[in-house]
Amino acid sequence: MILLLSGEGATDLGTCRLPGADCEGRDFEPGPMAWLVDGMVGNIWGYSPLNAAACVLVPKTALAIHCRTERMGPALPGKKRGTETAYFFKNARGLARMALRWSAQKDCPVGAVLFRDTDGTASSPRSLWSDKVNSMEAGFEAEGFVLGVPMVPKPKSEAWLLCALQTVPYQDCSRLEDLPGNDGSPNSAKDELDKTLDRRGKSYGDVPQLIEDGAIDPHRIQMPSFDRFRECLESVATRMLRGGALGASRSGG
Amino acid sequence: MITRFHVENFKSLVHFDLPPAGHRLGGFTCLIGLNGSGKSTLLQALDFVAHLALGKVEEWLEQRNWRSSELATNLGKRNPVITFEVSFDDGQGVETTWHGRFNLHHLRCTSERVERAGQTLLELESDRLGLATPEGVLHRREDKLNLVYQGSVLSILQLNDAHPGLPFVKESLRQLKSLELLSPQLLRKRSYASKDMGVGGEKFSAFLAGLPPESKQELFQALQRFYPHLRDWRVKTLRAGWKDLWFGEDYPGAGSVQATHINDGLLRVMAILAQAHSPYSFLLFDEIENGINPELVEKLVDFLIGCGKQVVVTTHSPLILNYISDEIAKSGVVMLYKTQQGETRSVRFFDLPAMQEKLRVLGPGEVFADTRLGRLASELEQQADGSTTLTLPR
Repeated sequence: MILLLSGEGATDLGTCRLPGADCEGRDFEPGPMAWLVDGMVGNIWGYSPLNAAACVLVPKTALAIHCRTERMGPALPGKKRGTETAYFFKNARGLARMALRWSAQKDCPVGAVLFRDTDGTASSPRSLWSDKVNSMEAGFEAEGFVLGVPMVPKPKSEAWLLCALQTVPYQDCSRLEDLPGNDGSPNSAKDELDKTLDRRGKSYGDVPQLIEDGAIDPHRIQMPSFDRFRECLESVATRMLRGGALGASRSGG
Repeated sequence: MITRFHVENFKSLVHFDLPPAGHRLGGFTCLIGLNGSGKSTLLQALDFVAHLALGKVEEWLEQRNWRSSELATNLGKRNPVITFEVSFDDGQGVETTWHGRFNLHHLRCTSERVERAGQTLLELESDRLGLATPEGVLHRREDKLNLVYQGSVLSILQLNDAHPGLPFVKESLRQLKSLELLSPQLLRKRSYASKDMGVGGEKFSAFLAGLPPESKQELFQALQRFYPHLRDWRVKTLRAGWKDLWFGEDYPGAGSVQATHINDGLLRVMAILAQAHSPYSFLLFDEIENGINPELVEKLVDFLIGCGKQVVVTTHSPLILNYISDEIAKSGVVMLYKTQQGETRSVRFFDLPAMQEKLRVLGPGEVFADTRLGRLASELEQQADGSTTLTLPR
């Protein structure tokens, strides 16, 4: 079983030690979100996919190039899909196609996690987060790919980590989704996390260790954006374990 | 080649630059923006300024059925002066700039200046004229200019003995052709001898009749790439010299069809393709996609970019943008939007970080179709206020 992970960079799913295409094993430098995925999937599979070198990182740039070179038809908005979603829809389609190819080559189930922050600005609509998640799901579905997981924190991944690290951990975390996503804003999610880590004498680089030590327990984080991600990831990981699906429900569209 | 255009007090162009400050206009520019953002107004402003150099202000107003007073911005206090600045590249990398202040009451420029590489080639102030010799020495006349003219003093000056930069400016403006009023109804009309197809295409048949045979053949071949069933086109000369446009179609037993029965799309495409054989080097088209089937858009865009002329189009079509290469899109797609005060502003669409990010994954047209331009305009205004930063990708 293999998991393709594609995020934005070092502070979420991680980076490749060498620039360029996909990387795995020692070439893959996992970020905090990759360790979070590892903990949750490992709980179902019974082993750590990261330690078993079963995770492949697809850098954002490599995925973008893949999306532009693949013929997919135009991603135009309409009744079925609104504006400001095509970027996520097409990234999901591109990642789905990669996963399906990996699955065919390796003859094993290949899942895919697509990470993007919600971010947004003051004028962004309230539905921004759900639009992103839905368009990623639509992108996976357009390729007939059933092992795709949208990982879209609201406003960004720091809010999920804050839920576990705040003064009273795991309490009333929904409100953290209303923190400003823009790092330049006062009391931004990033700012709040930095201050919280500082109080514990830790820095952002210590987050993977905090996950491994159980100080950040993904099973106790409860907030709408995380709940939706966890539900989807656990469902995909379970289906992969049962081996019933190799990734495709039908031929890609 | 026109490299920069600045205008003040022309309708919603209160203080406007094309392209945005710090950039130069390239061979192909595609203007996008919501309805009413000022795209057509910009084409009108460019055409208006070109007509100043030709001295044809009243004619230009009559073509549109406008009064001069209607040109001034109606936001806030009325100002009867339109200020403009046009820069040209002479192909050697030397920039020449023509500045002017046009008075809407007098219908002429009360102040003008042409500058080239730090030299003043023409100066008009308080009816006193200064002209540079071919060597670049500016001679200012002491007496007042007592001439009656419209538009720019360039329109009446014999420039044979002046610095070559001056006829270059005048000729460059003469080569600007706006087809923003192009209308299939007018393209169908019979017309009488003309070297120009007219502002809305009303003299199209006469213009076509006057083309040399090789141009006619080239135009036919170009048109046939769009419409493979086209067998031929020809202009019939009627009594008293009227010209009538006919087409032949390659269907079994099909006879010739008069332009009055030909579809809008074919006529528009033909009028656009015919510009390759016009004397104009700077072409303006409004809503270029009108009447044209998506299947033909790629050919149309390829023609516009490769025709060897400087082209500015407006569009609402994602398909038009999707057939532009990323490189041309980055420099050539300019979004127009209105501020809360109603003033038109411009921004290079793919200079915006969020659009750059989307362009890595999507085609230029997909990015355009996927973006709420109204919301983007609000964010650009907030950014200008310093109240937010565009940190998307969203």
